Amino acid sequence: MQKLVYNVFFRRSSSYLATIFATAFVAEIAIDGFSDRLWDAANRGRQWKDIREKYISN
Amino acid sequence: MMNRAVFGLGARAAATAARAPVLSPAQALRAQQRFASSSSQSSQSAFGKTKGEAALWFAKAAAASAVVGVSLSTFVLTDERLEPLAQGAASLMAAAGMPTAHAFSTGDNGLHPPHWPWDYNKPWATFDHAALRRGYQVYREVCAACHSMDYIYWRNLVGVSHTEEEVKAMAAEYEYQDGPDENGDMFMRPGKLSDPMPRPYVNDNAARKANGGALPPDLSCIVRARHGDADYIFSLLLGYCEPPAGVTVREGLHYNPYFPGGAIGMARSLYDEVVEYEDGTPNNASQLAKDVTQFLAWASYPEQDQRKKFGFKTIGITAMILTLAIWWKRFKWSHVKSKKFVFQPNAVCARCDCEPMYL
Ligand code: HEC
Repeated sequence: MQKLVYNVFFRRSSSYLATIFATAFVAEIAIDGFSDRLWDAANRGRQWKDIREKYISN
Repeated sequence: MMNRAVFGLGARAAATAARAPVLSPAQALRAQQRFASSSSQSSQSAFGKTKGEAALWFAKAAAASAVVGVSLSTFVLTDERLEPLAQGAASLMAAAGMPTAHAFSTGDNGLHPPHWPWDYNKPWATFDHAALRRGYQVYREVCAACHSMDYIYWRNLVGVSHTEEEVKAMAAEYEYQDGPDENGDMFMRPGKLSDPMPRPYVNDNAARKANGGALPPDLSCIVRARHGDADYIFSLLLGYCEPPAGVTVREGLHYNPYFPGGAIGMARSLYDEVVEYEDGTPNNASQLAKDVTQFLAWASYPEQDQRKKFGFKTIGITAMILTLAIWWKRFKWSHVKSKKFVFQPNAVCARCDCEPMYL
């Protein structure tokens, strides 16, 4: 298993680089999504997006 | 050569035998195994031999830092302990002939405003945008009669306190000069999102003239521009009272202990129910002052919500990277930390009978 992971993702510089880029892409989305959720939960009802329904006319 | 001359072969062999007890082959094998197994186990994980030990290590580290942090801040560095230090430093400075601060004059510098518990002051709290909306209403209906907000544009309200349609309609209620047109004439047109808040007076002199010589300052950055930030603005708006005995206030000025000097050119403008809120919030004077102050704080720090959020993301990501870095360091050092050097003085090389330093 370890060997497989090593051979697929780490062995060649090109696949290593691709791994880094892909992880960065996924990690960014995951971290952003997670922290946005946390933030919105901590500020429930305070932000514009929480109250805008009241004022949207159409 | 010297060595050989001094110690004969027999003497050296005897010394070696005396200092390093000769191991039987079985003993040596066992010792080797012990050494090998201990080193291979410790290099498995940087924090302990098993996952359980690693988890325990992290738990202990977290608990220890929590205990140290809490006890440092609440038990060790208390005001009672810091105060004598500050006083000692002050008397040292006085003894050394350095200038020291003098007692604060409330009359000249204004009464120090209390720290009001603004809910948006918490490190993780955004502005309360419903309050911003109400605060804008107070500014528009009360303060805008005298105060400009030149650096706030209509578009700044979109997505903060109002929808785009609302702001467009609000801006269109005011006329702005534009031009020149094809004839070279300036003309008036309804306001657009890209226009700034309209000014109540054409220029500062007109503003002074209308306010008994006192210029109502622009409120775009007023919270940044005053000591005490929002605490000061809030206290000032509600701080009007009768001047104390012996203090006379010139005609046209008003007594307010929070204003430096005590006599301010602005009359009290916030009273209960001068503004009618659309969302049913009680409209007593302190609520109006609270909302308009929060609106002015937003005008001064419009980036606050984003800044705090990014700050938390930064702390979170840095914490992850720090954990990785600590693990990486321990991983790399685990070889060094579990390595054993054995020094056998005067050991004899089995192959060539030389005297190596290490074997
Ligand atoms: C009748 C006109 C008028 C209205 C209405 C008015 N102000 Fe003023 N304001 C003034 C004048 C004039 C000054 C300058 C006072 C001075 O320098 O003595 C002033 C000064 C201020 C200051 C600066 C005080 C300082 O420390 O220099 C603040 C803050 C302020 N006003 C906020 C408000 C707010 C908020 C409102 C709305 C609730 C408001 N004002 C309504 C006329 C007005």
